[in-house]
Amino acid sequence: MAQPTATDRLLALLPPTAQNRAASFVEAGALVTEVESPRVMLGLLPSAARGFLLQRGKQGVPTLMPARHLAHFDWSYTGAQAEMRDLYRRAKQQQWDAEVALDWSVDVDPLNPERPILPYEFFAFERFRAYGTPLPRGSKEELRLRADLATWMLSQFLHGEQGALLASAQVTECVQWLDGKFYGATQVMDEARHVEVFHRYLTTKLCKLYDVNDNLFVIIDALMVDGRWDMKFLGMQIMIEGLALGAFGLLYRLTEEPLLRDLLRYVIQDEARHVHYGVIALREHYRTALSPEELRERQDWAFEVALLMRNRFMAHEIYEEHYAHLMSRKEWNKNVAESPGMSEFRHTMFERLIPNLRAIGLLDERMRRHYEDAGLLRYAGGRDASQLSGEAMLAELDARGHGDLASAAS
Amino acid sequence: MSPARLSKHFVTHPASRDVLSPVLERLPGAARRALARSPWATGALRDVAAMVRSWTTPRPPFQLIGRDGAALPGERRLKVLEVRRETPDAVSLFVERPAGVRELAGQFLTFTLSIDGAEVRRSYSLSSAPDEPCWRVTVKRVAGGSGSTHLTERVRAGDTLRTRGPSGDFTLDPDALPGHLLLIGGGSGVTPLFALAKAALTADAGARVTMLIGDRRGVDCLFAEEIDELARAHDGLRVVRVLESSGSVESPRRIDEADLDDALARGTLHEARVYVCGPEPLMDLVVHALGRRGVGGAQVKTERFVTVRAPAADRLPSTPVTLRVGGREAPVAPGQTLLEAATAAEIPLEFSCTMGGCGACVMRLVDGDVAMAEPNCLDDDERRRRLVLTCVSRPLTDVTLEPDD
Ligand code: FES
Ligand SMILES: [Fe+2]
Ligand SMILES: [Fe+2]
Repeated sequence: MAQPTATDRLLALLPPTAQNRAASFVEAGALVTEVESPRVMLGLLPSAARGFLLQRGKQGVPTLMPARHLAHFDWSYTGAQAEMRDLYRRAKQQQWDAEVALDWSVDVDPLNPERPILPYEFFAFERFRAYGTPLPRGSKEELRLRADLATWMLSQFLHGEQGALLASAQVTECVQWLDGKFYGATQVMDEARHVEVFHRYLTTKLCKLYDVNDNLFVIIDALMVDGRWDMKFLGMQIMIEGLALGAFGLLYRLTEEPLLRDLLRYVIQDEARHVHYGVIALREHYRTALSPEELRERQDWAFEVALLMRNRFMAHEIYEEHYAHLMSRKEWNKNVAESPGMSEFRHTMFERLIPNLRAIGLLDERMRRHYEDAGLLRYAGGRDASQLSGEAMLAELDARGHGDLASAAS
Repeated sequence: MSPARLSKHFVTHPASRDVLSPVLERLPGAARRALARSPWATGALRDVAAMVRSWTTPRPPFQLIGRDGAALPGERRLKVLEVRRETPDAVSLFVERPAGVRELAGQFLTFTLSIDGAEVRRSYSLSSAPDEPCWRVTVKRVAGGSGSTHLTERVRAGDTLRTRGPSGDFTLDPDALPGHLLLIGGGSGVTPLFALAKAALTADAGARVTMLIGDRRGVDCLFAEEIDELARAHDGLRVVRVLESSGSVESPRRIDEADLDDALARGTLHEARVYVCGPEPLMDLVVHALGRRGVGGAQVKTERFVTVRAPAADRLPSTPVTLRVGGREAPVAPGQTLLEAATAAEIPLEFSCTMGGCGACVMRLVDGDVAMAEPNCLDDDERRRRLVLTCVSRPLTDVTLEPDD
């Protein structure tokens, strides 16, 4: 078990209800030390205050985020962009209606051991035996935890999709290419559909919805209020969507629940287009329109956010619900980080993300060293979103077989 | 601007209202006005309040949705004082009686139970009469029934139960007893009948009461000794038991029309008032047979014990719709009932059992369409008049309601 630090010991003196709140303060503080680039850190600070300290995403009421971007009007309708036009054409043809395409009459029982949403190996709750809670495989409690973990993940997907819906609308206003705006409009529709299906799945099938994770809130908040369109693109289309695409792919491969599997299949095809769009839009812009200074900021930002997502996406809401009385947050983090599912999760996420960073020019010599140190450079040779369509990705996932968790990664 | 309006206007966060109002009330008028003008300041205030609140009473990091989740007011947490095994598969829970609550004999309680992390609601009739010191609920275990299994096997003295009610109109006015009270039922249906018999005999020790009870075997009969004792103390009470085990294996003996005629023969048809509660086939048989003999309408009351089934989720819209009632509007989230949505929007509607069993929440549908959980206590005539039970209705479209009078 992890060694308690002085902070841990101080936290332990608080009553349990206060401990969790205090822990999120500590986490906010830790952000300052974790993020190396002072500029990135300062940029994230207001969002971190709103997310970690004020818990704006967890108050049970809507959050109002002041958006400060400039809408780009072009009265001469220029800005043709062939690759975007092609994406727009494909997007129109691939529209689907969630009402018709998916069989919502499927009865989903998240506790059904025959059709679990996540396989046992994903978390292997057996590891908690040391804390006095033996959770034998297939026991009611173990199934409930697995279902909750899946519900938590899907809830975060849903919140991410809402972020994508709003950000894609913003970005549609911002971009200067007419074809980009056309395409953007289809993406807004896609994201609305994604919100629709995840929301419907969670509320009518799993009957539970988790709050947004603080770290996800911070990133979404930062993107929504950032006035620079390319930052929205980078954050939403490349980082969040790229990571989500990896996560969807993994869940698609692992889940035994037929409705969810179908749903993810459709969503993955849309998402692959979205990331592709992000790559086209930024590739050009980052090569030609930015000062070296500005480019460096993007590079650092992407790197830091990638690490934040890797290190901090730790299902703390599940911890607070089930485990806060049994172990410290630190021990929880360690267990989550080591679970086979989460390792595989990180592996697939970066497998999708890093090649796209390369494609848009954020992986120069300086950054390669950073990624090397973080153990992420091995993903740099993969195919980026312009080289890998949704269909191709699904075919590969299908070929890798279904349900097994080959925890080769990380 | 008054502190109340200020806090209502700007501090709409439900959790922060009670934290902020006391602070706002103490501010001088000028400061309050300045505050009210600055969205930044009110926003900041709200954040602070939410923060204070999250330290003292944290909310869970998730919400439960739809059929089981939504909280409605009017729930009591009552302590279980004693658990008594009545038959091999039935127990009585003696529950503290909340001060100032007086039920009518024959009513039921609704429990919200937490079973394997999910919330389920179940209704059970009171077997106690209104003059007994505590409430008594008798539960018979149903094979595969999660609620009855939980109550019969897991609940212990000292536990608390989340309780609503009493509700229901399977009741008897003790000041207007009929010439002949005929109580017919079987299985766990005996529960409210026992309460009715006791109440009638308390109101008038000489009342003419007939109990016609069907069951499988003698050992399954609920309250057998207590009912016998009651009969020994009251000449007016006659008890007839019809046991399946007294027939053959191929054709078990069940209550039939001859039994009914025997029971009715204790008085004139005209003075009989009949209460029926038991398995569906028995109830159907009795109600039809009575009808053929000209006994119906207000003379016959029935109570059904059934598990209410929510409408299939795929019939419901996946996006919120609007509920209009009494000149106000409330959004209804997918899966929410009309009652839950109205309550969340602080529109007070009547209700009691929240299970579709009592009719307290009935309203008339002026516009729109709903799916109701079935079966419930509305009859065909009420349905034709477009009456709906808000506690089990989920809207299919925007909906407008008005009181039924
Ligand atoms: S509250 Fe009892 S039927 Fe609706
Ligand atoms: Fe999406
Ligand atoms: Fe997307």
